[in-house]
Amino acid sequence: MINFKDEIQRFKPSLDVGDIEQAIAKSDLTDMSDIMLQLIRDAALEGNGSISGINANERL
Amino acid sequence: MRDYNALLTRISNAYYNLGLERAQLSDLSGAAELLKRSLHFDKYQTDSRNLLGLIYYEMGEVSEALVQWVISLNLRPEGNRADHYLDEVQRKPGALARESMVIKRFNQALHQAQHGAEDLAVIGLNQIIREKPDFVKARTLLALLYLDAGENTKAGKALMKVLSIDRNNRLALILMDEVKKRTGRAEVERNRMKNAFSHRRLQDDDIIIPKEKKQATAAQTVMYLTAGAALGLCIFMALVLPSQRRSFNLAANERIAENSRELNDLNARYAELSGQYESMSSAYADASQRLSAFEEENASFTSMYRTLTGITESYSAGDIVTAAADYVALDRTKAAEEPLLGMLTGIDAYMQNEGFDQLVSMGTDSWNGGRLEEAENYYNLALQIKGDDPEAMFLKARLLQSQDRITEANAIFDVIVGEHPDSPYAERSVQARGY
Repeated sequence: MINFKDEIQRFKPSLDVGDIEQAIAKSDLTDMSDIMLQLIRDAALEGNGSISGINANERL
Repeated sequence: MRDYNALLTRISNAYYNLGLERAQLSDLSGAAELLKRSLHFDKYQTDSRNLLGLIYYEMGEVSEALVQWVISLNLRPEGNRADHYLDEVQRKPGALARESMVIKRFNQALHQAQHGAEDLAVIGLNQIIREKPDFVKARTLLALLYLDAGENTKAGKALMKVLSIDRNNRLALILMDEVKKRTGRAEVERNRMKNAFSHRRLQDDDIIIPKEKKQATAAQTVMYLTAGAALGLCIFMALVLPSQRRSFNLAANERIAENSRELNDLNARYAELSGQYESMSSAYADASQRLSAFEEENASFTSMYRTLTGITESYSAGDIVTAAADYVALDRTKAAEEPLLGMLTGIDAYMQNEGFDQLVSMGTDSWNGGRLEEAENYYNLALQIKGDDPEAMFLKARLLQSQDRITEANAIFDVIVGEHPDSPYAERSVQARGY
């Protein structure tokens, strides 16, 4: 049995054209690479405090 | 790290391919999920991001599409298809302003729906989908509101459009199931599916023998053609001809009716004229009779007048014999009215007296002169004027006696004796006849 009221409440407003800039600025563009890089950096920092063999800008 | 990058890229590409496949099958919701996963593994997967933007655009979410294309262009400025998409959207003047207006109205309708003003929300959403038919979210919300209000058919129509755009839209599928349950379509479709797949499966060694088509012989072909022609003729006579006949008959009947009306009018006119003719004929006959009668009367008068005048002239001229002859020949009925009656009365007075005496006297003179026949004519003429005069009768009888016409004489003597016994000629008649 569908609860129509709940379903209606779940609807979110659409993004207005005027809010595009804000939406772009807030976009989270972190992908797996970024996560892995971050993990590797964190591990390296915890290990010996320096990062070697890893170039953060290598993918670009 | 390079190996990991390559791995992530491959995973991202794999998701992109899956997403593309789904998008080609109109499963936009499914495609969007896969493309987002693709971007999770590689945010630089431009094709995924551009396709995601297209999917958003297809579903009516123009702003979301623009976000993806702008990000895509920022991440890869050169050789990026997103540049073309952005140009297309912004090329039409006022397009973005209109889009903004539509989205604002949708957000307002959503607010109304979420705060008890469902009626207003329905009106607003109907206007929105008229302007932007592919706005999936608006149609889905509208379907939800219709279902809540019990308008199942309208909800079904809205959902059908949604599912034509986004085949596997989760909410739309759930709502459509609800619509089918309420309208009984679920049962119908279930039966259809059952009948469609009810035959047994073919085994490997099953041989399908095609049905042999019987070829018609020449005689059969001729017979079929003849039967077909006869059938066509029958149909024509049964369906087309009656209506044609009806129309002909109708026209003919109308002409007949018109002619009848004219004939009736003419008959009436003829009757009228006949009546007038008869009346006039009768009047003419009557007038003719009166005219004839008048002419007859006129002629009779004229004739009588002439006769009377002639009589008068005759005895005035001394021709008593002509006067007496005309006098005794008179038709006294034609002198019944004045002035003829007056004339006749005068003539009567003369002829009955002086004229009679003259004739008797002339008869006696002629007897004495030996002119016996002349004397008898005078006596006859006198007796025609006054037939019961005893003297004239006696003289005639004596004349006849003198001519030995005893029988005739005695007949007259008998009349004198019988009808005038007091007359002196009665005794003389007795003496003359001898008895």
